[in-house]
Amino acid sequence: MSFRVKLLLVFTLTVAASVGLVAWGVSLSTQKAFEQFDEQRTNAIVAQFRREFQQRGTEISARVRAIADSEATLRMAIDLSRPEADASVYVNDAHSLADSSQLDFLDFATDDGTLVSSAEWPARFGYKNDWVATAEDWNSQGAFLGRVDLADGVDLGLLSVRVVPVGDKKLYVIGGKRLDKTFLSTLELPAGMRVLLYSNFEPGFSPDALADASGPVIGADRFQPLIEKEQQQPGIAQQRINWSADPTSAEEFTAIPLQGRAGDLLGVFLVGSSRRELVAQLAFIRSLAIVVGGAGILLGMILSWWIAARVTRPIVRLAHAADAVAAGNWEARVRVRGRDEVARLGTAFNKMTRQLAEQQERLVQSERVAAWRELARRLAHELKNPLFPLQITVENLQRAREQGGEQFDEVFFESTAALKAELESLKAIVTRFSDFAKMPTPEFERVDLNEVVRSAVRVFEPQFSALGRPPIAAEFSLDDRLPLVEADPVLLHRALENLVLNAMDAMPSGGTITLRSSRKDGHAHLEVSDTGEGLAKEECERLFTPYYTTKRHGTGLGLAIVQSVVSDHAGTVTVASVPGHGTTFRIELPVEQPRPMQSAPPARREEAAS
Amino acid sequence: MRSIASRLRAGTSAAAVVLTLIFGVAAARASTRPKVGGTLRVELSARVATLDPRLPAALAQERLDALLFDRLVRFNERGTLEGVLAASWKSEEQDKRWHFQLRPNIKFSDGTPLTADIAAQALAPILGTSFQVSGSSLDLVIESAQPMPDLPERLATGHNFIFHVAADGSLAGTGPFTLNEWIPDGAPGRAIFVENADCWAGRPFVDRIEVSFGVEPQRIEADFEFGLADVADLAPADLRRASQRGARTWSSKPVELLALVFDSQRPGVRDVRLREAIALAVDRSTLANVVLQRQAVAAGGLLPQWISGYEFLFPTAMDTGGALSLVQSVNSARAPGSPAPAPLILVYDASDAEARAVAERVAVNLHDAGIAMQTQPAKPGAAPADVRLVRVRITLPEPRAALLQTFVVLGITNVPSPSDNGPEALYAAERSALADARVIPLVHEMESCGLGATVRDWMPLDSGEWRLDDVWLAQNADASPAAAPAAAPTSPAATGGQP
Repeated sequence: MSFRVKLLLVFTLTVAASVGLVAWGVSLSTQKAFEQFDEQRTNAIVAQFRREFQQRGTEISARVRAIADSEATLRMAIDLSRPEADASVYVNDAHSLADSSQLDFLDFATDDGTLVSSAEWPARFGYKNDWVATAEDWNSQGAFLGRVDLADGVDLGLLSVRVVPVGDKKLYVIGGKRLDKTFLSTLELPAGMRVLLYSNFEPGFSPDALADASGPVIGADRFQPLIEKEQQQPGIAQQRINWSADPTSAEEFTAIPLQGRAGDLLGVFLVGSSRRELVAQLAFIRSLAIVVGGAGILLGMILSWWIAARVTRPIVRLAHAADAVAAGNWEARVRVRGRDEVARLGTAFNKMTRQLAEQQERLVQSERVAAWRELARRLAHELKNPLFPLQITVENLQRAREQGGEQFDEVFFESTAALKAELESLKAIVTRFSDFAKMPTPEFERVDLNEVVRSAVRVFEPQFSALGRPPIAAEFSLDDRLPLVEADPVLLHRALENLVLNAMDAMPSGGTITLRSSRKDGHAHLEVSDTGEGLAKEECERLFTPYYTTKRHGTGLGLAIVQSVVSDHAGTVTVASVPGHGTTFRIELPVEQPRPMQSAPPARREEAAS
Repeated sequence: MRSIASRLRAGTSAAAVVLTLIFGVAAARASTRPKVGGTLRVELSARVATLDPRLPAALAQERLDALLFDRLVRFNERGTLEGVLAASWKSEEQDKRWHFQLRPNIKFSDGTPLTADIAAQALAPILGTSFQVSGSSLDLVIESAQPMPDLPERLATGHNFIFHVAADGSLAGTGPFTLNEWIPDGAPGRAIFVENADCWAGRPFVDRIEVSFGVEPQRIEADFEFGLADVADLAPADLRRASQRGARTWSSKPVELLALVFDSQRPGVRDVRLREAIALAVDRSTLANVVLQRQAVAAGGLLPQWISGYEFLFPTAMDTGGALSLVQSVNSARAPGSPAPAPLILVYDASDAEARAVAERVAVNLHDAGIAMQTQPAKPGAAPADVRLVRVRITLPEPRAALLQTFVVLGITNVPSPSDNGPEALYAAERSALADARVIPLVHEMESCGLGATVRDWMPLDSGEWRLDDVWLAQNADASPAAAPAAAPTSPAATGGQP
């Protein structure tokens, strides 16, 4: 990972973390604000319900009082206070009075609680409402919650009782309004809120007892824990109900217990607040945060990239220049701007490469001089050997000419033969130098390396067992699974001949030449080992230098040719030698020749050039 | 010795008294003399869909039909039969064939002469297929495979009207009025009848009768109180209030039976002990005196006391303890651990407010006896009910005919006909009919209405049948309640007092 990428990552992560932190904070604070708002709204509804409840109670008390204070009721009370009063006359009065007073419930009862007339259950006249005859000062009491028995069940009502005294007799007027969906529908609720009423007429939870302003509630079972909690311990309680997997379907319900005069739980008022708006707003804010955060992060990345690019550009240039230098381009320089540490580094680099180039130039010059000297020495050495016989032969020929006679012809023929032989020798020397100077370009084809090895050895097999020479044995350890290698068989054959010849020269007392082939890491490996005296470390280091030889009659070109051939095949050749135990040359060749690479980017080339 | 002056004074005073008496009697005779003309306004709570006698309907339609059509015979004020369109009648072949000799020279309101053939065409669809009705000239013959000893009585009540079907399908009658306007679908419905000047029995006293039907009880009460209705079909409570205010009211004798009729095939009421418990648990007295505001009497038997003479022998007292014992015995017979029985379903006529009140009170009484009962109005297609609250109109004053008529209406078929017309045989038959408590009589209700101050000669029959052709309207000056005479002497409860 490049320095620029690392820097970019650090910048990006920093920006992303910052933006995410801000978005999370905003989302959290928004959620908290919404929940506070929701709680306030619920509290407002609860307060509204209580006010409404109180107001309804006041209204009902006023209506019942008006009925109790009416002349008709007074006449009824007086009439019923008489002995043998006929109460049947009034059996239907409650119904019409309830209608005119807009009351759902209206009962008239004598002082022992016997019903004279009932609006909500007319057929129940003559039966007793025992609770009303308890010695309570009803006229000083307000409305209260109570159960109202009906022909088809029980209802929850907000009731008020007034007493009309006549002498020592009383007439009770019991009136009230039903707490049901109609009552719920009269409550003004903000959007997203609804109210439910649970009529607690059974010991356990009954789904049918739960209703909202539109009637029975679907999924009433979900309220069971909340209702049961109220049944066990009445009090304000809350429960969130998720109606589906969609979080917007959730509602937060607040339960308000409705208790009767004796503190018994008669009903539960449930204020539901939809979380749809809250969840939608939060989702919107979250989406906004994601978009803004994403945009921020993107902008941060762009800025980070720009900053990282700006910061790392000199370093990248420096790295490219270093690569160029490593690749041998001693002229590579970096452009220096500013005076910061990177600029100083660039200046130092330029100075260093300049010095290195100068030293390299000097080294090349000295090596070139040394090479020329070596070449001159080698040429002198090579040429001196045939020149001396030539000189001797010419001097013999001159002497034979001076002596004349028959010996001249004999000497002449012998001398010209000797001259021709020496000239051939000179010509061979020149040819070898010429061949080295003109190494041909490889022509690649699929080659069986093992076959090349065998053919190279086969050339020298007659010399391994030649008379007058200690025998040399050739051993093969060739990998048959070696694939065909893309190579020039002629050049490769020539290189191997040089190595075999080199091994033969290294074993004047005979020995064993071992040839191995193998495959490793997609490369073909060849080894040529001898059992000669081996080489010193210094010899190994200079072994591939052209014209360097450890032999008396060597030209110093054999291993140079080997290296040249191997290099032209994108391979490497190394030498390992243990003095006294022989030497091993290892050639590593790619199975496939690398394809020509695309040209380097211009900027890089420019940078490298600079 | 008295002086001449004193004698003169005495003579003058006596002459003044005599003159005063003469003018007073003359004035009184003038105020009670029937007057012709005026419009009688009638308001009925029941809705009337048609006036065609061939289509069975309730009492309100029958009352309006009686203005347009005549029957062959009718009951008079003494409860005996008298001829209307039939001049005479006789039976043959052990009452299997009856001959009715029609009065001659009677024409329908469309001018068509009354013949036995037309009368036969009118009666045939009303009597049904078990009767063969034929006519020739003025001799109407009604035959049946079974003896029909009560046929004239039957023809004196109900929808057995004689009418003529015109070519356009309209009906013409021989009654005292003809139909002038008919708006059955209004709110309320409205019908106007005008006097039939050519009526064979003479023209009625009033020129017009304007009938509003399907009127809300509250509006009837208000219209009656403000003098906007001359004859008002008041609800029992309204009638009682009107009576207490001093307004004129009229009530018939108890002529309608309200009874519980069980479907004994239903598992919930199959046990006779449960039905007996229900009979004991019902507080009939309260039903009659409170729910129906004394416009009914507790009923232990099917026929009212005024018809049968033996109804007092049937018990009517509530016995909640006895009912509870019976219910406990029923419950103890149930398998242990079996679920509680479903509430019994009691249905009543949805258009009958009094029936609803009675049904609800019965349910309350049964609750005390440990019997759960739900009341609901009868609806077409509703689930079968365990018990029905049935209203039976008993129109025949003759006990045997009335009992048999009641048996037919209540579906009592397992009781043999009484051997004779004696009260012992009728009592035995009725007792046998009530023995299995499949039918439980509750109350006998009266028919009643409020009468305006100007209404005169209101003389309905004991059976509750109105006779509006006899009614006339007094002038406003004569219409004070004090000047209003009592209604027909046969209606003892028609003086504005308690029934």
